[in-house]
Amino acid sequence: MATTDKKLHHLTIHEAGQLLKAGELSPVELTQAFFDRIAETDDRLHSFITLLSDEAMAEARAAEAEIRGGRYRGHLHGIPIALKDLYDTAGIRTTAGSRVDFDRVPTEDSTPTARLKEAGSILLGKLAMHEFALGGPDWTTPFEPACNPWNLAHITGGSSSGSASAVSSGQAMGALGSCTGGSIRGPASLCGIVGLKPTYGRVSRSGVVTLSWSQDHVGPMTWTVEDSAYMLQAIAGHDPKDPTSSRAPVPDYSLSLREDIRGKVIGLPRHYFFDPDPGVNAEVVAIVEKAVVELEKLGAKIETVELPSLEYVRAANTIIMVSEAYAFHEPNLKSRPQDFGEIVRARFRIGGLLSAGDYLQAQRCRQWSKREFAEALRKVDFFVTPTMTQPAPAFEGYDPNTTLMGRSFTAPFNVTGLPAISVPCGFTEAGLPVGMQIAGKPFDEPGVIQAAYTYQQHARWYEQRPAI
Amino acid sequence: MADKPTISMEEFKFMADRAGLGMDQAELDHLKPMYELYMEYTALVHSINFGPEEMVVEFHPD
Repeated sequence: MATTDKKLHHLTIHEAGQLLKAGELSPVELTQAFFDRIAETDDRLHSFITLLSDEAMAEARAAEAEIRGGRYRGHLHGIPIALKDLYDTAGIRTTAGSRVDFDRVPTEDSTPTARLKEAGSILLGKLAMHEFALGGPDWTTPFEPACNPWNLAHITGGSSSGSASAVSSGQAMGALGSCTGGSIRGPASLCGIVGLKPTYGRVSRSGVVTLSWSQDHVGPMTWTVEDSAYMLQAIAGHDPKDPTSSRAPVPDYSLSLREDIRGKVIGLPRHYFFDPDPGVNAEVVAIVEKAVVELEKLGAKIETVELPSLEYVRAANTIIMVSEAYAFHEPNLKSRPQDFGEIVRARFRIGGLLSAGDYLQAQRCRQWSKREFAEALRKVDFFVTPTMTQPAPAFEGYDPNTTLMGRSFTAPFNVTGLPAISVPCGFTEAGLPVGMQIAGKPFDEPGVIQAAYTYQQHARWYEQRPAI
Repeated sequence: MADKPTISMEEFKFMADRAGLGMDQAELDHLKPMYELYMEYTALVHSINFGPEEMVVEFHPD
């Protein structure tokens, strides 16, 4: 039996790893606890599309034998995790949340899947998502939308909806999301967990269903910053199967788990992220402002920065996204449009109506933005912003098309490819979580992780769990 | 943004047919208002004068 007072499904990866390594917790016992938790909650949360009970328990028994035999592989060995259902898994159905891929069974693992296996993690199952990683909750797809564990009447955000609900509710210790305009940080923020979008090229996209080749990112979603660091460690690194994969060396991210932000300069692009705007919730901004004050008390220096290209970045992100998505999905969109949900079918079709000139102009806008952000990052170490413009909306009355326009606080870091993390920083009066986004220089995941870890350890929001 | 851009149904249908999307009138009626939202975005990026700025063929953040 485990030697811990905590419920097993409330352990972090870090905590469970210490117990597993010391032989004080069995991977079999841990994995079974998560299946029990899923059985107890998933009829309300709808986090999972596919459960892999038999396979996971077999993996857990193998991990137990290895650890007992003195072959402990590291932080993820024996840890139950889950994958957004767009990561290819050999021999296991991978739907991308769509009727189009309802019966698709890949023959190979995606690179992130394979690397998590090599690290010894236990795959509990495949998670709900917005269809093809775009849009919002859509009842015209074959799968129920995931619900927010903090309030089941509210959405999780997306597109990594099941990843957020599963980690937030203790159905999995960690999950992979994917992110083209904010699909890791957004749901992480709305569900009160940590979401880390690494630098473009840091993690291979090979075997991950495409939305937008040049903007898709792979990254972890976990309860704490250190757990995201461990998952990133397992999946980061060059992959010849991904032509945009970086050869930059992968540092030891655990070295960044230190509480120190003294002397770091934080840039606040106030004009876009903090100043009053009809589309931005003032309570969210006020909560993040308080977190910024805490960072200053911890020794960071705060400076206001101007980034004029921000007013154009959402447009560039959207045009590039639907244009590339159309190119990828065109054959199915023309031959079997009825198999797409209503939201995604419409948006992909718009991608087919945009011109080459629109796409190229959006890419030139992207170059401008990238250059402007790089210039600002010569003077500051990080940008800090609210992660989302709003807390999680209720399902009732929610129209995904209303979010098409207006500001996006996450998309600028998909367009520029910069690393960005969302860390919980408080709750609204209604009890909904709010996240703070910290973005840094290319490949400065260590700096971003250390800043987020420093705040997390000071603020300790991770001590609060949803009462589901 | 300035006045919201619009497109006639005739022009929209021409574009959809040219793209080979095979939509019926009900689908065109449904999609046109959303396309007009996207036109705000395309108008916005076209409002910038980039001069000789090139587009990089392959995107790298570093």
